[in-house]
Amino acid sequence: MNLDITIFFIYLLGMLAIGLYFTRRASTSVDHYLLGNRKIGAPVTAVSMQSTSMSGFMFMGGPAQAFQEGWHALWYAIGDAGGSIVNLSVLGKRMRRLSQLIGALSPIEYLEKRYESASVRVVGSVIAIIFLFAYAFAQFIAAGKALESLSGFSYELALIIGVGVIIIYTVAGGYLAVAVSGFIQGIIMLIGVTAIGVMAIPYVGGISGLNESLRAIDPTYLSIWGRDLIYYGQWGVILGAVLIYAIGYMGLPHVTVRHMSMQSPKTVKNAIIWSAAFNQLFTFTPYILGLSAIVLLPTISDPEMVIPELAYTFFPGVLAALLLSAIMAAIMSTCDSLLMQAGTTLSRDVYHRFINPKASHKQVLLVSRLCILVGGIIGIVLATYEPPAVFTLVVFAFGVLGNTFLVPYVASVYSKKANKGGVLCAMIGGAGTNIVWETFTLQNVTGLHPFLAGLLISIIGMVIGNTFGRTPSPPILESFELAKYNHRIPKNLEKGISDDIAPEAKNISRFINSSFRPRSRGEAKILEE
Amino acid sequence: MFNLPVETTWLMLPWPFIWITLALVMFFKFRRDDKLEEQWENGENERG
Repeated sequence: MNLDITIFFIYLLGMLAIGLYFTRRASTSVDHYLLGNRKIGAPVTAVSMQSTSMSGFMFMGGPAQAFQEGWHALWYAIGDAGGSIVNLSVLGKRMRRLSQLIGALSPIEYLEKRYESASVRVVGSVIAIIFLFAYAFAQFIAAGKALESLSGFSYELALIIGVGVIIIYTVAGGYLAVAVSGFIQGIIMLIGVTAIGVMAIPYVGGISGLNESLRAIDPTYLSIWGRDLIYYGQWGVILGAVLIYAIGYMGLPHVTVRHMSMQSPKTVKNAIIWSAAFNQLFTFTPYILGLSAIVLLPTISDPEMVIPELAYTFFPGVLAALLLSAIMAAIMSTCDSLLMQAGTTLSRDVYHRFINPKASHKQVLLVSRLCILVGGIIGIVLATYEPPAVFTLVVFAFGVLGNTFLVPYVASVYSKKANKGGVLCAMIGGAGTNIVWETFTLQNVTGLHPFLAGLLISIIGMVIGNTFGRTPSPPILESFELAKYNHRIPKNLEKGISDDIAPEAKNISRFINSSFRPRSRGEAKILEE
Repeated sequence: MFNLPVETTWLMLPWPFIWITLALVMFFKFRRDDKLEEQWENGENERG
């Protein structure tokens, strides 16, 4: 067996071991399975947030874009480099507090409880399930394609191996396995891409030598407006390209769940530093490698394979093996979170909320695991047909999710007036605009990126819709204020005890209320004892 | 710089520094918030 395949199988076994290691802990309660009992520390929060956000797009779609468009593609990298810093700074503390104060275990449940509307949960669940599975499905195909071309396995076998491992450790270990594997996968991605970058960039004479060569091939490769100046003067396209990743992550349920699972609101500050370091080291290199391929591999037939081709052509051996694991790590870290979130939405937001409200913890856990398993198997079957344009589907699903949930999440912690009317208009308006913009390629006509168009309509929808909805109830307004001012949070909530004691607290409350009724002497004596 | 056109240099290259600066500003802001919170929990606000 080749060295690269051996190293790759060791990596896969490591991922399986993580899933099995966390199996027992994940089965303790729904909170443990869905949120890791809100005990995730800063490094795991930050790195897994970023590795989840980036997906296989960073190793395949991003470099292909740079290969085709030149330096213009770096606008996406610029947004990506700040994405989790913005996400943690804007939502981190407040969403962590508010989610616990209102007792939400899933990002969609959070919206229902914050906006006090079951219809918000229905609309949110439908959009989330469709586009999370579409996103995961695209990752399945990417995993199959990458593993097929790098290992020589048949596409079907590659798909079953790659996706099978993801399904097993996600079903077994739940959120904890997903978060911890996301951290390890992020580190593997960083090492893999840095190693290739360190070898390849000097090969083209450093950044200056690379640009000199690009200028000689076509000077417009160096322009911010794209090759042949295709986007010349279209600031709407450039702004959208930066914003889709700089702020778009705040609208992805499988990413925002990281805020809810943090150990405490104090985790945020260290997570920001981890994110800043990881992003600046990682994000730009894949795109620079895409630019290098214009010089080194000008005749490559599939631009999505520029990084693997670079590694296998110029640096075979351990480096190529590392790269195979890094690419699969990027795909798997996103795929597991997507499956986890889709399973959570189906079990918690659909089954437990609407089908069987009296379901026990064990039943919810079982349904969650079954949903991930069945969704994964259906995904594998569909992915065997290998539809084209994988990363077009990724960008589309990403854009729709971002435009649906970004404004509702931000407004939930920054706008006291934000209500059911506003959030429904924002979600439907944002998602609808993105779908229409992409379907009819309105970017070419308007000069406005689909994400930017969806964002504007979503904001307008929230502002107008708020005037029709009901003002949030006093308990929600109180929670909103508590989430805003950290020093007023009761200490027990910070420690994550509240969820554990909630049922007991309810029973005590009932008991106290009932104790006000007149009692016989015997009852009073029992109570005193 | 790096043989890039002036427009590309000035519009793209500063971004990693901007993001790192933002991260540091937010880190110190949240650290101050956390300290205030600890003081509150320890009852120092009531004395002060």
